[in-house]
Amino acid sequence: MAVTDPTATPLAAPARPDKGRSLWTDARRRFFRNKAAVVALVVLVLIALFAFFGGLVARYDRETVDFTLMGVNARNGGPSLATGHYFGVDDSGRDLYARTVQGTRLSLMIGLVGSLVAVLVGTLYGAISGYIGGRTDGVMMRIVDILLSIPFMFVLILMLVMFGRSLLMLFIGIGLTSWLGMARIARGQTLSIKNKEFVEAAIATGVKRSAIILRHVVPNLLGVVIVYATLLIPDMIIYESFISFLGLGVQEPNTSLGALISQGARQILSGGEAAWQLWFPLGFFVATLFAFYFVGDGLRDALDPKDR
Amino acid sequence: MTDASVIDRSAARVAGAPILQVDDLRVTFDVPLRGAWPWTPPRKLHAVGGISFDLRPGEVLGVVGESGSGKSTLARAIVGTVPSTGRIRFDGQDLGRLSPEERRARRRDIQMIFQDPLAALNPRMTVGDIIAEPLRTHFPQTSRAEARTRVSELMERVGLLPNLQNRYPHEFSGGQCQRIGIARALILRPKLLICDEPVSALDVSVQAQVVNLLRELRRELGIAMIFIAHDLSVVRHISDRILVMYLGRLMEMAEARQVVEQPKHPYTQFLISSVPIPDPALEKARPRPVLEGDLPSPLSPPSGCVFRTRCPKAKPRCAEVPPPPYDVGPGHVATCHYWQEPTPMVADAGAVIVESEAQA
Repeated sequence: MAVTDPTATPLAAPARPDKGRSLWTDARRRFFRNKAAVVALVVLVLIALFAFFGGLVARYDRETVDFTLMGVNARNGGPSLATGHYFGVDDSGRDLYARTVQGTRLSLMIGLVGSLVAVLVGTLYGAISGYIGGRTDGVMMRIVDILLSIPFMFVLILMLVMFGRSLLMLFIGIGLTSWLGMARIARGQTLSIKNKEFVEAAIATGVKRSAIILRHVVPNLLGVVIVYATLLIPDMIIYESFISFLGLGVQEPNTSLGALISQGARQILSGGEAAWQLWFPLGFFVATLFAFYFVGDGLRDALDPKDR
Repeated sequence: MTDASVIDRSAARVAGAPILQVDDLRVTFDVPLRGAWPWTPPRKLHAVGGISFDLRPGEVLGVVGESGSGKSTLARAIVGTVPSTGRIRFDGQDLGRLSPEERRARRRDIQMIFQDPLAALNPRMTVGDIIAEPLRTHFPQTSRAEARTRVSELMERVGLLPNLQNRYPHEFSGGQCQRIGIARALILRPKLLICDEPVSALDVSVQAQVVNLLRELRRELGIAMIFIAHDLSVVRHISDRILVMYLGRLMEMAEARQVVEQPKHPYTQFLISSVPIPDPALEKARPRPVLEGDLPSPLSPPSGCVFRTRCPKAKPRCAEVPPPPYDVGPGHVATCHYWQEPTPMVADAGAVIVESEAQA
């Protein structure tokens, strides 16, 4: 065999293992080339810093009522650096800055918890259902269909009314619904992945079923899952805001962006003039949603380059 | 359909205890009817319909047949990734009788190489992890360092730079990916290697390198192989014996030389006469018979002999009685009622090849 062999690499090179360029590295590079997504990510980081560390610069806490400003906030309680009420005070005389910080934090947490549950439960549920297939798949997916057909908004409202309004109830309610869509998406992807030859190679090698799902199926699902999760976060935030807007969400003195927007809107509707009470929480709300959607969009382009 | 006594006589001639005994292997898929009620019985697709053969340790059995003839399904049935009926004895053990856990443990002796080299590698794993996976699976106590050393040795052996361990499959060419697949299949030193069209997705020049690599490995390690291809010219370079399949049935099986030089079954004769000869004069002079028609649907295979719809010498009897595997020579079986009669157009198919090789 004197034939030179171009696919056989020469053995003269140094034996130091060199670094591979994984699909994640490629995706990261594509993501950082997308300007809108990077700007959105920066905005998101700033909002997160505001939500988690903004309290350090607040001069008042969210529940202390400034009686001198109560009822006259439209005249005397406007946003001002001098008084320390950076965002002004609400109609009860409470510092709006501290309340916005806390509301943003709660909204972000609702979004993160919702999508975390979706990623953990939904991905595994969908991957297992799709990989096992057959009757198991049928039963598992019908359960999802049944749960999806329940109007969860009403169920959640009933739960909040029956068991009392609490943060825990809200998290449970959000967690219960968020994974359903993810399970369907993960299952659909699994169906196409499980017919790939590398899965067959793993079966032929004798890899255990659980290891195939965790090592071969789930990592190949993650691209889609991450995109869906980032797009799910704003949905969860809207969901919570809607509940809070109805007055059923978080309880005083806790607040969320939805509750703040609700109060601001009510105050304007009843003839109040403290417009900042609506604009500040609304601004953070809109900015957060926009940023999440842009990041999600950028991630989709980065992780799924074929779709462009 | 299979005449067991015919098979047994040919098996008796094989020296040494066979490592793999396949007996009347059948693979049937359910094809659900579109739009039918859920309780309507599905149609049956007979992908493999009763194949029997033996394989000695270190022997290479080539399996040829056109697309859709059930070659890959046969391989998958032996590996156990599709359910089958019939008996597969490996190393004297009936694989069908093992519990799922025992079967899983047994897989370390039977490894497989796939047709599409890139698709057979998980894109999210590094090459080193891919090659080490069988080791991690069957010997979980292997230390990381030891696994890395083994992987390096093996990568070097199959012609890859060991320092590419941390790279990902998409950074390699098709030929290199196939070498990675071969390394993965060899890391457990299996007793049987099943190659499912390992070169058909590769360039012709790379094909030769991979086939040569497999030949070398076989000589060094003495692994028994089942080598599947639709291209007879590739198969005959590596195989000791060749099994010709058509529509899931065995058509002919014999020593590689016998099949190429004295094919008895009309289908094999057509296959041989379609192998190109690297001599323009001979190539031009010889008749080029073309096999008419298409492969019949395996959902409704022809009655009797499955090849009769395209066979130039089909007679009424072919439609009625499925031919048993006739013993047509030493270790040579052909499933044709009229194997003794010359086939029109292709009678001397093997002779031309012998002649061209004599000249070369």
